[in-house]
Amino acid sequence: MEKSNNSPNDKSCITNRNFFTQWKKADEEWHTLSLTLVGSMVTPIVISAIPVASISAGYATLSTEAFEASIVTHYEINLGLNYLRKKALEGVIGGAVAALGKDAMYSSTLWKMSGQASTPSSPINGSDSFKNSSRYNEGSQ
Amino acid sequence: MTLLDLENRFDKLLASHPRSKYLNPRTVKNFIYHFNSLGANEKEFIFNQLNGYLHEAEEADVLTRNECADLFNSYLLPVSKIYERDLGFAPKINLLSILVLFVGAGVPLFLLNAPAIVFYLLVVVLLLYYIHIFSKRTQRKVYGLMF
Repeated sequence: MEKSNNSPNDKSCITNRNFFTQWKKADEEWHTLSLTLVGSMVTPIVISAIPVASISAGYATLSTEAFEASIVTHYEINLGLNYLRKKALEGVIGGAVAALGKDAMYSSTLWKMSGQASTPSSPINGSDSFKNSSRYNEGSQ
Repeated sequence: MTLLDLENRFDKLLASHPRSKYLNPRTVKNFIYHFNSLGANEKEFIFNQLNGYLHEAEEADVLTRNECADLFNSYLLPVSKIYERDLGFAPKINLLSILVLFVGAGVPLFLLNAPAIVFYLLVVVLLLYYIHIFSKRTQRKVYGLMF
């Protein structure tokens, strides 16, 4: 059967599809929101419910090596994030400076070219070497 | 006192200490190894810092973990910033820290329904970072606590 673009069935299909997309998006948003809400409500309760003694006991069960590894990991992450932040900032600033420098170089090249073009010695106006060439003298002969 | 004296003193201290990793052995060795590549102004400051660090470590009978961290923060961290600026030193990082960083960044992204490409990008960035640090390690240009 041939399909018609203007049939009412097609329109309802599009409407249903739009509705489904919107419904899916709303569902995803609700999923995120509910997770965040539940997390923000439950986390403080859980944290406040853990007695300090049990945390200390947890640390006591760790071996010296494991405890030291956790300290070193914590320290490494701090230093590493600082380093990454610095490098990212350098990259952004360096990129901006390079872009500006390139732009300035491009402008200066254009400026030089325009300067050459307007000087009497440029080939456009006729430099000495061009004037002495056979091509320049072709017309006068 | 010369740099060689400083190195000898450090070696002696390492040999005598029961837990030599508390003295940040490879960090100090890397600093000494690249010392001559620094400018004159920095050299004086760094020499004084390393000398102070050794003096404090020698004074303590047995260096504890917390003392080690305190000494690192007060003597070696300022020195490391100069090495980082002038010679491209980088803080050492291992795979466990990379994994913790991935989880730390991945969980909020997951909760925010981030697209998969963001996770792939995160993996690539962290992998490149690890390779970068690994190459620094082969050049002996890394520093770190208990390293």
